[in-house]
Amino acid sequence: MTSRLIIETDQLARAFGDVVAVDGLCLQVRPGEIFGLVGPDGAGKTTTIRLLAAIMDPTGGSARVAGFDTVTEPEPIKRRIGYMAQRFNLYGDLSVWENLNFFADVFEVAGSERRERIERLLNFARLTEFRDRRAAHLSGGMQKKLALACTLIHTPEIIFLDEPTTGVDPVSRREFWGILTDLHLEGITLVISTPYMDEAERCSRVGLMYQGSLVVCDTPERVKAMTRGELIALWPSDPRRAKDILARHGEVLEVQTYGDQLRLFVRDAGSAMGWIDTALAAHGVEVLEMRPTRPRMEEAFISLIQGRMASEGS
Amino acid sequence: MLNRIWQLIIKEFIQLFRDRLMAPFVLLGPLTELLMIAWSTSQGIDHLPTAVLDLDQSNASRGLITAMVNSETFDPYFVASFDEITEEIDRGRALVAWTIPRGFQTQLLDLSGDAPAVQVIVDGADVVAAQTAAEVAQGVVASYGQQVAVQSSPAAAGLFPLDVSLRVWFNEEMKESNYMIPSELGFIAAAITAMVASMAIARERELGTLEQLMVTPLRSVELVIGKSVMAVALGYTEFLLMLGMVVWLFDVPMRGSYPLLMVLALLYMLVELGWGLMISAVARTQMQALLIAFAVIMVMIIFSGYAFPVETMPRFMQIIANFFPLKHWLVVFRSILLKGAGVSVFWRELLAIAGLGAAIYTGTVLLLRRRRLQ
Repeated sequence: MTSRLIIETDQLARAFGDVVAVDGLCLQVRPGEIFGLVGPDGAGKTTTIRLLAAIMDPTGGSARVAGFDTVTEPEPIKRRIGYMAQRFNLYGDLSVWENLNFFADVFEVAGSERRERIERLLNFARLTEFRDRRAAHLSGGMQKKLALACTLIHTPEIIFLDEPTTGVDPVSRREFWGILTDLHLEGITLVISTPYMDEAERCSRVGLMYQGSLVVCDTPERVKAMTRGELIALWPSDPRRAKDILARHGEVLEVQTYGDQLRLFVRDAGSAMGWIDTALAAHGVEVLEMRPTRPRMEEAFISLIQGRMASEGS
Repeated sequence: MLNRIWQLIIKEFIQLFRDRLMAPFVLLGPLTELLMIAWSTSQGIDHLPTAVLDLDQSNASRGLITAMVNSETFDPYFVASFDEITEEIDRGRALVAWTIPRGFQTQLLDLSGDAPAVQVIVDGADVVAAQTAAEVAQGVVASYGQQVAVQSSPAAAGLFPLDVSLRVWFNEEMKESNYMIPSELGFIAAAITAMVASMAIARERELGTLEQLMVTPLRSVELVIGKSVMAVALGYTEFLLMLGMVVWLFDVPMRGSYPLLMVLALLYMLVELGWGLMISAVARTQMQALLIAFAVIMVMIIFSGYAFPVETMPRFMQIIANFFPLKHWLVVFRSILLKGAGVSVFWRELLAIAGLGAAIYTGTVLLLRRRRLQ
């Protein structure tokens, strides 16, 4: 079983002084997966990715990537992985082509293979016509694509992407994910951290991080099924009052607000459809629209985090 | 490995010449600075504006004034009262004032009486000019007095048997510029090397590209070597440019061996490069690197004997001064330049530089090893 894992961590931990960023993380990634790391800001996603990319040493536990230990054997790992940091980490004063060329040089990609590969990556990232433009003068989306192209120059087996689409417009995001899907189909393992729940849904499996460790780690379908009860979407005339009234009701497990919409987790959606109307009418709140629905990643995420926070608070 | 370092160096130079400020700043800045220092120090102290109050109005007083003009240190102009002298000095129009008393000629020729006193006031606010003015004034008065005495009574000539014969070696004209310019040159090149190296690595850290380089097969040793080669190349080019300018343009003598100087300068630059690398291990941003580098350079200058002679420092400070390679290098550099000396003369200084270099690099390696990332 172990041989089928491409990334495996054992009680991985990293502290910065008194602050524990990653705390006893046990993570398993199979070859060819798109593995999504989700979690609130400060959950330890970036630190985890740096630990796995062997550019930071853990303060506890260990990690094996592509069969090598990140502390004792970082060099073979570096040749097998690509790492794309959250920040733009290329040379802004070099052109697109010069950046690709430089990384080809340091990875010792040489000869005709190198020329052919650079051309292919430029084409792949749709940057061919911008090859002579300085990286600093590219748009945010194009910079991300260039960064991805640079991490692919040595055809890595695993790619780590730290919030690659943060600050990118929706059209570029979609295009970027198109490229990631192509890589996935080529059999490359992708480990990606993201704050976007729609991106989490595209992953083979997601790990939900909270305060340095994994709360849940499963397929998006199963994670969504972990929420308690059934979900109802409700548009009341006065959402604030409706929320107060319903939160006190014994049948209601959890209430989440999305603008004018309330999303209620109840024990039984069928019966709830009946009594919600009357309960709100008694307080003069009108139901504009109401229907049973399936939980999205976002509800599951908030519900799991809130559950974890509540259990720590008690 | 060599190929990776070579590619890194190429990248560094592309970036250097694409940066509109860095290349001119590094190459032309120090050259201009040295040019200005050379110009200003190669002017001797002479033609100081001098107010003269001649209360005697005699042949003797006019003779003294002529002697004063001939010294070329003073440019005299006449004032009519002592109040005017005060005002001229107060307003800074005169740096020196001479007062020749009434009865100067009578007293001068009366060998049996007291010698006449000429009052010379100098503006002490400008210390260097004041010292020169005071020394020259004493000389002028003394030699004029002797001349008059000899003329009036040839027998008395024997009363002035003493004559100091002063010879200055290595800097015959006592040109301040022959001291200042080599010192300035010797340290600017090293400072540039240290500064460029520290900023080059801090820049990668600040912009995040260091993080990207860490996931490549490029080792930190290779990175440090690549950056160092660029820094030394720049510093050494600067050194050669400045040396050429100083020797051809400002006639600073070069009496020693050029090959010896070239080799030792390169070795010394490698030692000071260690400072830069040490700073780069600590600084997170280019701004921090620059500020720390400036602080280090300031301390270096103070203890190098460049700004103040080490010999006049308190004993404790003299001991500390020995811990700065710059102090020893300036001795070596001036010995080659002005004295044409060889290794046999300054081997102690060379040993000191080598020892300090080893210490600096040990410290740098220890510091770098401590911080891999963050």
